[in-house]
Formats: sequence, C-alpha cells, structure tokens
Amino acid sequence: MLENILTGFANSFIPINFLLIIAGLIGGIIIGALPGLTATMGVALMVPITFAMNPISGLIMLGAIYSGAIYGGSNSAILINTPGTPSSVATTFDGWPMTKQGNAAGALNASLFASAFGGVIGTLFLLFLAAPMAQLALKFGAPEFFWLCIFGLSTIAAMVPGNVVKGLMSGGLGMLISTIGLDPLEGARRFTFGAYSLVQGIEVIPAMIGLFSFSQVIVLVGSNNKFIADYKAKKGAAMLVAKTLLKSAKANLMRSSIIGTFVGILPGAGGEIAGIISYNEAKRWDKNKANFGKGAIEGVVASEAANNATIGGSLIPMLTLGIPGSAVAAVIMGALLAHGIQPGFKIFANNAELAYSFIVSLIVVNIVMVFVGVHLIKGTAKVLNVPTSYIGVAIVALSVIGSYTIRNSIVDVMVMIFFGLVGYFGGRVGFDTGAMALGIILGPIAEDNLSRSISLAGAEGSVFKVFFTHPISLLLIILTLISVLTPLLMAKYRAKKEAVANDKA
Amino acid sequence: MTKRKSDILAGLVSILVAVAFMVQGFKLSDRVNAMPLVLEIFLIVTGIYMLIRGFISKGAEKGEEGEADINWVRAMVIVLATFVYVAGVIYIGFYVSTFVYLLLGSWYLNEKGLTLSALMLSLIFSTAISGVLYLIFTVLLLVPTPAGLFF
Repeated sequence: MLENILTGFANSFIPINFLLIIAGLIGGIIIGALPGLTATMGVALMVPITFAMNPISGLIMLGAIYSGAIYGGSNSAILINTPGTPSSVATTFDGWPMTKQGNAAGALNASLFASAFGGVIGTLFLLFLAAPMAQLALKFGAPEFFWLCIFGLSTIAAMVPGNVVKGLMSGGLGMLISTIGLDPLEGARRFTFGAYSLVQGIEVIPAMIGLFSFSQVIVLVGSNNKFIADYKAKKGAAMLVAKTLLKSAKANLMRSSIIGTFVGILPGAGGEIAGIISYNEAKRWDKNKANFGKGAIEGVVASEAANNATIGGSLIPMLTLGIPGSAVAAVIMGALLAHGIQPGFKIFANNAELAYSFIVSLIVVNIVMVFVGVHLIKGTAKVLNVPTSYIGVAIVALSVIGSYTIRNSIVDVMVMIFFGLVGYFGGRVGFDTGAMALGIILGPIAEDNLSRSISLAGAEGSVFKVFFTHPISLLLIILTLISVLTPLLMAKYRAKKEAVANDKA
Repeated sequence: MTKRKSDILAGLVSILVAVAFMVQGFKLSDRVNAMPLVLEIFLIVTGIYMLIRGFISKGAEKGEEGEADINWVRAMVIVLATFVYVAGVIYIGFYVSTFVYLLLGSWYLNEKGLTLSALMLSLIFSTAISGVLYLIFTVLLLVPTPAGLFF
C-alpha cells in the first residue's frame, strides 16, 4: 500500500498532472462560484476531454474540478449571499453577515482553509478506511435516511432560536412547496394549480437562488448604500485567519470533516445536508452560540469543512462497491467505465496505480487549492468595491442564466423570481429563508424515504419495527430529540438564570 | 411593521397556502397525499397560533429584523424590469435582453442620475458583462441559452 501511495504522490507531481490540477482547480472554482453551474455539470463537461488523456491524468483533473467547484460555491455565498452550489447553503448563514460587517476576507479565507482541511480528511478516510465505512453505509436503508432528514430538519430549532415557531412554519412551507410535481410513490401529478409546467416540480437550485440572491437584490437596490459592504484588502489576512483556525477551530474542523465524510458516503445525501448538520453541531458545541447567524467564523468553517469532506466520502462507495455516493461520483464512475475500468474492491488490486494515484492526488489537490485560492480571493473580493447599482443588476442576470441552465427551462427562471419575492416579503413578516431552503432541500428526500419505509412496513407487517427498532434509526432519533430540546432547555435555563440575577439585584 | 402585524400576516399566509394545497389535494389518493396533509395541518395549526398571538399581543412591540428603510420605487422598478427582462429573454434572446437590462438597469440605479457620463459607464459595464457571460456559457461551456428572435 505504501508503495502505491508513494507512486500516487509521484504521479501527482508529474508536470502535466500538476498543471491539470491547477487548471482543474481554477476552472472548478469559477464553475462553483457561478450560481446554477454545479460541480456535476463541471465534471460532466470535462469527461469527454479525459478520453484523450491517460486515465490517471484524466481522473486527477476531474478530482481537481470536483474539489474546486465545491469550494468555489462558498465565494458567491459569502460575497453576494448566493450559494454557488447547493452545498454552500449553510455558508450563507454566517458568511454573508461577515461580509456585511466588512470581514469578507476573513470569511473567504476561512472557507478556503476549512474546505482544504475537510477535503484532506475526507480523502484520508477514503485512503485508509474505505472498506469498513462502505459496509456501514450499506446499513443505511430508507428508514435511516428518513430519520437522517428529520435530524437535518431539527436544525431549524437551533437556526432561529428567537422565533422557533416561525422557523418551523418556514421549514413546513418549504417542504410543502417541494411536494409540487410528480409524487415519488405513484407518479401522480400534485399541486400544479392547473399549470402544466409545474409537473416537473420545483428545482432546488433556482429556489435557492431566488430565496438568497434575488431577495437580496431587492434589499440592495432599495437601500441607499453605495456598496454591498465595506471592503479594504488587508495584508496578511490569510495568515491571521489560519492562526485563528489553528487556535480555536480544531475540534470544529475535525468534527465537521468527519460528519461530511460520513454523509458523503450515503447515496443521495450530499454536501448540502453535510453542511447543515455540521453547522448545527458547530453551534451546539460552541460556547458563543448567540454569535451564529450573525457572522461567526465557526459557522463558515463548519459548513465548508463538511461539504468538501463529502468528496472523499462520496468516492468511498463508488470505488469500493461501484455505488456512487453523489451525482459527481456517478459521473466519475462513468469516466472510469469509459476507460474500461470497473469500480469495486478489485480496483485496488487490478488497477492499484490508478486507484491510489487518484486518491492521493486529492490530497495534493486540496493543498494546492490553498495556494490557488488565496490568490483568487484577492480578485474575487474586489466585487465588493463595485457599486450596488452595477452589482445588483449583474446578480439578476447571473441568477436568470444560472436558474435557466439547470434544466434549460424558463419555468425555473420564474421559480427563481417567485422565491425571490417570497424570500423578501416573507422576511418582512419573520419567515426564515434558511429554514425554508432546508425544507425545500430535505422535503423530497424525506418523503421519498418515508414512502419507501411505509411500503417496507407493509411488507414486514410492523410500522414500529421498521421505524423504531433499527440501531442507526434509534441513534438518529435520540440525536434529533437532543437537537430540538437543547435550544428550548437552554432558553429556559437562561431565563431562569436571568430571573435569579434580577431577583438578587 | 410591528410584531403584532407580522404575526397576523404570517399566520394568514400560512393558513391560506395550506388551505390552497389542501383543496388541490382532495383529488389525490391517501398514499400520495399523506405527507402533504400532515404539513398542511401543521401549517394551519401554527398559523392559528400566530393569529392568536398577534391578536392578543400589544401593538407597539418591535418588528422583525432586517426591516431597514427601503426605497420602494427603486426596488419595485427593478423587480418590474426583471419581469420585462425575462419576457425579453424568451422573445428576443438571452444576450440581447441581458445587454439592454444591464444597460438600463445600472443607468437608472446610478447615483449620478440619468446623465450621459453615467450612460457611457453603463454601456461599458453591460458590454463587458454580456461579453463575459457569452464567453463562459456559450463559448467555453457550450451551455444553451434562450435564443428568441436574436440570441
């Protein structure tokens, strides 16, 4: 194994492969930063080009694009409150407030370092613990997935502690809206209100762009601020952030990376779920919970470490079992098959050089990403120096093309505008866009797995047995209860403490 | 907006959306309508709670966060212009509509007012952004964009 790992490093540093890593990273970061262009799209577009290369070089480049795109999504999430990819939804929660406070450089650098760290940890799991983790992933059936979604939804309670009911209502509205279209069980048309175009359902990305981006444009152009936020380039900002993270975010980085890796293994659960769960856990374990949502660097770190860790995680079932853990992993698997390489445990014996070179190159990719990213940040942050009169309309143009390109559908553009108005006016009556986004993302996955679990319960003759007796389900139920009850109990405890303090005074 | 008003509005919206979905769901089978029905009931119950909370609370309490003063005219002009822009994307084509939208939108929002120098700056800006979008989406990534009459 050690020999293969060393060969992998050697292959990564062959000049042409190293250049492909840099080019892939830059391309990936740009694709990720542009709303509507996803990592899947970026990798899929480049697969045909790999046919002209040797398989090792091709895979190295695809890995670089994948890593770059997942990290790149944080740039637009932080700078213009628009998640470039769904994986960066949770990054907006604190990244955007940091930008508004004039600390965009801090948020961008934190997201870069956290992404690289998460990427490396995910890859180390892929390298050393692929087999046992793949076996664990196989124990996840529909009931476990359902409870995982419920656990993700429980984040809402922590997300809007001051207004839990409106937060839950926002999540409920998001979930209800996500049921528009064909149902997962019978394919019946639901809630289209006579509009045939709604049969295709509500696509997540246009809804996200609308909720976070278009609604923000309304705020921007309606404000009297000349710029989105104050931004002045500071020398040594990256070093300062690196020191801060080393000093106070080690546990957060490690915890989020492990969560990300594990969520990445599960087919159907991606960076968005990993980011949201990690964000919630970071908040739960942090001493200064009240800072979350108001520009806490820890929130950015948790989301970004987790979503980049899903890369290594999603490749575990793909390389060991031939089951892709994400859409991008499926595309990479397609590239492997096109090269005549069959994924599965035998790949480590029959194509050891290729398998290990690909895995090891991901470590190199993440380290190189730090150097590439630090330079790119200097340029991308300058977007904040462009007056809002220009940036506002440019965001709209990007939102329109970003929404359209997902399915080449103008309906998605309408959906984006609709959710923009919902986000803006909903915000004025206290609905939470983050909770609504969570409902839209997790609703379909929860319903799909609920339906399958009910079918399973029908076959096994016991709903209780299917939903409440599996060990992983029980663990997730306990975690959900802790997640929901902790903010309520903490609020009660604080109120009691304040009352005692007031009595003493 | 006071907290009272926002609670009442949030409650009303929640109930109205839930009822609209409920009416649509009558035609569906129980299996298909199971989860939506649970959500609708949840939204109606929480909506009623919000209405009660709104009606019994005192009126002057502070409203929701993020309610900074807003220039409604500017905001609504851009929202309406976006609808026209999307119609333009369908009938005229993405790049031509984007160019016009960026040009007129940035000129209108410009703090110098509708001057000739501001128009020139907007012209440079809209040409540059449209060009970059064309380069990225059409030339490099070969992503189809709505064509309309022109392109």
